[in-house]
Amino acid sequence: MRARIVDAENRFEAVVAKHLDFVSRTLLALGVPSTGVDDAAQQVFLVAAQKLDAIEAGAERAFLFAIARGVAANVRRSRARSRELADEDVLDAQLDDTPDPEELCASKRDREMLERLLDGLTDEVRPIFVLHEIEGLTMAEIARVCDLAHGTVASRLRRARDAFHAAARRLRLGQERLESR
Amino acid sequence: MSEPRRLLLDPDAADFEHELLRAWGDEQPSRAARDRAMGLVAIAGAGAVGAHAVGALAPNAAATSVAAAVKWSTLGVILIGGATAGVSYVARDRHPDVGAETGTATPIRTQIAVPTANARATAEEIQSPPSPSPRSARTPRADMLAEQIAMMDGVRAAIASGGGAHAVRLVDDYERRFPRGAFLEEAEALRVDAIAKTANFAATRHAADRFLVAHPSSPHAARIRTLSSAATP
Repeated sequence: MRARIVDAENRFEAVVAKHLDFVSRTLLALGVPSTGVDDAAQQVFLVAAQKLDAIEAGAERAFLFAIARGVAANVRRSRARSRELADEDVLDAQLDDTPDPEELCASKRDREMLERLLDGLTDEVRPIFVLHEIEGLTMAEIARVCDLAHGTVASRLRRARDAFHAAARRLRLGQERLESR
Repeated sequence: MSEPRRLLLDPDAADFEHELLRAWGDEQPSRAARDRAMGLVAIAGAGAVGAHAVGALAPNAAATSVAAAVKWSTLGVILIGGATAGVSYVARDRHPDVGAETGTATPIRTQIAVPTANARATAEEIQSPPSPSPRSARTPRADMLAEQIAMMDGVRAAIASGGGAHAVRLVDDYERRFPRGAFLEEAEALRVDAIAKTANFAATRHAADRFLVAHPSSPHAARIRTLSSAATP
């Protein structure tokens, strides 16, 4: 019995060590604010700890992603504010609220901008974009993780990219306007 | 269908997009996040025995206890957030038997009951780093959980063989050994069973009443009421 406990604990520790980075980035990319990522990651791993026996070896990342997706959705729903990049006025207002870019280190500013771009993607395409563009998964891997047909993954990725390019162009233009003031 | 190239690696993608996507490559979870996730390891260990030995210990009831502990810890995670797992991680070092509670339920319950009063202590406890060697800290916890389960098995075996008095002594031993044990509720329920085996009706009713006052919504409550009724002349 003790061996079974130790085995489970060893496996759980290995899962945390291997996938915490992935879970944290995914939560951020799926709209969890940076201040809430630690809490959300803990929720994800709590579920993993409870369900460890049910997670097939080799399928840990898919399991964690599915949980992270649900946790992120809950967090987003509970957030009072909503961001819509499609509305340029809202985007401008957000940029106006942003601290002077010089006050932020470049990487933090870039990360915040990317968060806004991702917030503009729909829930349907956002995970696909995150898994491919940020986590580097192949379409076949995404199809497995999200339990989707390969063609569905491909079409959602195209839509996500189109939306991302459009939002990035608007964001860039908005940023240039601010810089030229 | 060909695999699309990632934007980050696509020379045709805008530099601006490259910069944004590259910024996420530097994203790393905090040390606290890692500690907190690792702090859940006891729940994973409890889960490993939950479906087997714990379930066999007292069908439904013991498993319910573990599930309740996990529920409490879930609630603790949600309500308390940041400090909870760090505290529970540290708490196990401070109270060795707490780790055996499988869901670190007791410290979290305390936190929920009086969060403000504990806030300062929480902050102080978090200052203390967890054990640098989770492996060395883990094995005693696993041992303790296994020991608790074995002791409960012993109580049940004693009751099954008709040794009520012996079973009561074993329950006493358990409660002395694990004053914050994972199976205290089950132990108290088994105590009623054990006393009933001694045919001491008054003591059985007294123990049953005590149990029902302490655990009115326990999954054992119906059975304990039956034992109490059977001990009523």
